[in-house]
Amino acid sequence: MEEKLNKILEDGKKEISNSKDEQALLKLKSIYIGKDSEITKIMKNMKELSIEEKKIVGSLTNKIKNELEKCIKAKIGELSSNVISKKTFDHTLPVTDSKGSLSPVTIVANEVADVLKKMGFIIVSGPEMEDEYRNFEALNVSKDHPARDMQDTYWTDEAKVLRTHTSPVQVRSMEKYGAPLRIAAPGRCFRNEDLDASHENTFFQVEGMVIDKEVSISNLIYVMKNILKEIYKSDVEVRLRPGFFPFVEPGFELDIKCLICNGNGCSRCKNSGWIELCPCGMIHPEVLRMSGIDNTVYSGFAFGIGLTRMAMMKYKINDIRMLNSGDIRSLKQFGIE
Amino acid sequence: MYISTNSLKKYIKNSDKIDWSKVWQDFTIRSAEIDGIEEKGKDIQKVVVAKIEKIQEHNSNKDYNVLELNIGNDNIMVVSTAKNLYEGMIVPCALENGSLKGLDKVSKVELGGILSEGVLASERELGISEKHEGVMDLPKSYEIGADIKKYIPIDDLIIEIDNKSLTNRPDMWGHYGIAREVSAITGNELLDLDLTQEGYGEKKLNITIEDKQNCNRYSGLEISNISEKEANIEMKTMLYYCGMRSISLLVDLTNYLMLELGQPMHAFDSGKVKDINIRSTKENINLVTLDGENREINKGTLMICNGNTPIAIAGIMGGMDSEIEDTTSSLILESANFDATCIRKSATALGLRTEASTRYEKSLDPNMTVIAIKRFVKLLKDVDNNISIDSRIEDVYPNVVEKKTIDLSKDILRKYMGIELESNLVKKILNSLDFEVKEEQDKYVVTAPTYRSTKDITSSADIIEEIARLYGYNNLEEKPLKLDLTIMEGDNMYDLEYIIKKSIAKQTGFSEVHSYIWYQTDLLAKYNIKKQNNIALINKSENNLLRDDISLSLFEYCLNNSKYYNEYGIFEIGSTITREKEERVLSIMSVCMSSNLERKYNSIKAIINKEVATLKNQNIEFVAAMSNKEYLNEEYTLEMRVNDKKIGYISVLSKNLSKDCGKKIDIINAEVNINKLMEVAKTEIVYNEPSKYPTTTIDYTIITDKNEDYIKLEKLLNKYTNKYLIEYFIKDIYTDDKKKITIRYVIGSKEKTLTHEEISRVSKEILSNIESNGYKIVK
Repeated sequence: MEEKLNKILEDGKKEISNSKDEQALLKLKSIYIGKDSEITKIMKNMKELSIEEKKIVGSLTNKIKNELEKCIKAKIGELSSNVISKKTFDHTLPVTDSKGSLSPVTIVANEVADVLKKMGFIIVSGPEMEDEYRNFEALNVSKDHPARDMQDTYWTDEAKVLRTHTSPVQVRSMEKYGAPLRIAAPGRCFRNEDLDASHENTFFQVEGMVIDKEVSISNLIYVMKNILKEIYKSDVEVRLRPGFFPFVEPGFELDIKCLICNGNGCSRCKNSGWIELCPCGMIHPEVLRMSGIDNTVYSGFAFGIGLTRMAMMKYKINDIRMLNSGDIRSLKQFGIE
Repeated sequence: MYISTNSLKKYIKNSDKIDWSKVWQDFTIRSAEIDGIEEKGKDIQKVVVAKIEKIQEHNSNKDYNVLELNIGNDNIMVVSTAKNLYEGMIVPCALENGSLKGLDKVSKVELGGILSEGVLASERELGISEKHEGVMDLPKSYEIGADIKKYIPIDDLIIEIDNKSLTNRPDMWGHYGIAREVSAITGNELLDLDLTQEGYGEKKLNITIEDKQNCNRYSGLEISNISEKEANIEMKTMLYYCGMRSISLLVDLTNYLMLELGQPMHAFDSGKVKDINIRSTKENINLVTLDGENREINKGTLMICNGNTPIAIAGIMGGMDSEIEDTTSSLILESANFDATCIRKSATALGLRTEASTRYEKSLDPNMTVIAIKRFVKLLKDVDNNISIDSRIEDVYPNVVEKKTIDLSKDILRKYMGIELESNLVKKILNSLDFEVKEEQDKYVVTAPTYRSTKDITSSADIIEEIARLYGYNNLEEKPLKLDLTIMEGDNMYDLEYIIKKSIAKQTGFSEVHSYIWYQTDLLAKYNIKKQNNIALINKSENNLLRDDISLSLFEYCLNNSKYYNEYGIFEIGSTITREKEERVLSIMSVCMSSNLERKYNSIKAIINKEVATLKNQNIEFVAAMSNKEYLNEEYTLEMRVNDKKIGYISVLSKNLSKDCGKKIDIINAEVNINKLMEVAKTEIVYNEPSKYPTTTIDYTIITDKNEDYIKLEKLLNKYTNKYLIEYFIKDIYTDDKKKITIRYVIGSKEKTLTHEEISRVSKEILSNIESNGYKIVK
């Protein structure tokens, strides 16, 4: 009897370890320790044995049954862990998702806005279609100024204009917030131009304005230098020279020393060593007055930076028309930051 | 505008002490921008005055002349092909190792057996005009052997000034005005102009200004007995260097005066002009201008008339008929001042901008007209002393320009400059610019000269500019702003847009585009999209309708991009404009293979929801709705709502459009109105402690029609609420001939463990809500 039992254990173990899947194991389980198995039969017939035999065979059958159960469990565990670690797909295919891109103008605008925010400017927006008053009159652009002509400005059938600069946002801000004021307004502007590689009728600017008591030309120079230093991440050399814009007086053109030739003269700076970057100036007292700010108490300065041109300089884009082309062969190169 | 340094030097005392190559840097930062500096005469070297002693025919080539030339200390042989040579002629000759324009190095060459030792020069080869028919015939008075530059100012520094930077400086449109700035910058005294003050005739000229609004002043003079025909070489060279062509003595003189003083002048043949009348035309007319063009002139254009006959377009160009000719010996000189806007508008309407109109547009000083006449007479007499000045200077001056006097508060000056300036320095600067200054206790009373009073100086800020620019912006200290720490709220629109753009680009992998604010008209026509009431631009001939739908602009870009890509996406946040309002709108176009439509549609929907959920802490409600856009597929249109307000939609373009991007292509289009999104208040997050008591989940599998949208069932499920029902969600969807949607309900309470009865009551109610509406449950 003992021999028989040990044979069952040996055969069972062998078959269990050779089984390939869970189904086969379940079958083995019923054959060896199930209802109709040899072991169960032996246990059922135990009562026919002597006390002595009962003792030996009883403990041995129990031991064998337990051991076989253990083996089956272990084998099931082994098989299921094999199933999970089995490779089911090709994990070496290349990444196909494109990374997405923002317009180079958006990227540059955000860099500038970040710098201005750090300096305490709040960022404001205004409409692209403006009334004549805010685009021209409130900025001291006289009724007969050439900028108001049809060949320079888009006029609508409601006698409004597509704003020719972001400066009307200055007017809106003065009206809304009063003084003191420190705002920056990035946005899109429109001029009636024929398109070519360096001319667009649709382009972006950012406008900045500071109004406070005791604001001087010296402050303007300091602020402009620091803005440009931050934007260009280097100590740029700047110079101011007279420039005429109706809404500022004195008005300046701010040039930076050419970053490409370091002021020695190259094709980018047309051999002058300087690049015209940003018109600016002390806000004309009339402009303050018209928007309800006391120009005997307050003074201020304003500046504009051409974002479209800045983006072209940064990425060495030589045809401005690409920016409004919607052509993702070009646009997707720019990334997000 | 080109400026000849040689000419400038004549108006400035001790001009040799000025470093003329450096002064322009100061000029750029104090006065106006320099576009370029050209050194003239560098390429003309070793050219001497020579006399042709003898001309012989060349024995082997008929085209050659063999010349014996006296060059002062020597005689040389030169072979020349020129046709205008004669014995005794004085000519410019470039010697060995010298150079001419277009000939870098003169060397001795053998021509048919004769050694030619120099090259004779035309005006063009000397760089002083375009003339090249023959060798230059020099005056007999020139000393033989002398350097040609002794007689002709070939060496010069020509400065190109950016016209744009002179827009507001009418006084700087001539050499004398530029000299005045240089004098103020360097401190060298400005010399007075030489004028003819006496010797004028008695005769009165008939000059009438009918249009007094547009003609500020008209001065005239009649001169006769003019016999000289040519200006001197110095004047001609200057004209050429400054971009003009020498024509005849009288025309050259008027041009020279314009370059010198900035005052345009015109000479009429006095035989052809009797009564000068300045008036606007009452009807459209035609006039042949002196460039030979027959021009149509609009009603209302200011004209110079002889009696009733128009003879010149005021301030722009003279007429052919009254033009002075080579034979003209007597003339009526016009020196006038017209309204700047009037001239600009006429020039624009005619499409004819001339040197004269460009200057008049800047608001010239009317006080220049008589000075210019006196200067003209002086220069003419220098050439031809036998002229007869028949008339007095006839001067009609209805709109007198006075010097402007402006108060400048010392405190405001200090505030603008950021420093206190010595009053002596202020006075010195202003005086150098010809401004008069009276100092009072707390202000300066400043009087500007008339040539600065027509336009540019109007307020104290203008005076500050004069002081600051001559003080030198580079000499101002840089000072940080004192910070006002008041916190200000902006409108946040920019930030919101940037956050959304960045996130959309990152999540979708799409590219941001910038599209035009007007429609492509032919695109609308192609897809038969009607735009009835859009705002139109009145001065744009095509594509002039402002867009009220940004997605159409993006679709146009899809048409192009689909040539290169199957699956891609673009987006933009831009303005849409209607007669009622302007709004900021996000539009997304996701172009995909039709087989991927479901997956892509759901992904865009999820991304937008995630965006709104991140910004506002609430989910979008997607509601089946009709769209008002005829190009969308209604079956796929869902309206996006937050707090019951529509903020956008998601849909799929109709095949009519998407087929043009490819056969098996679909385009998903989503829009979010940024203004509406901005109005949505952000939901505050209130912390909700999870229940301490156990919850129970119950799954029901509901059977619906295969093609039924879930949104219908969802509506029904949302109808049932119970305080013990915590949430429900879709656990699984299985579709065979029916759609089987397994919904998992989570039931529980925060206060207690629910009893079996309580749970079964809730589950029964849920079940009856579903079944009573005709849905079957998988048991």
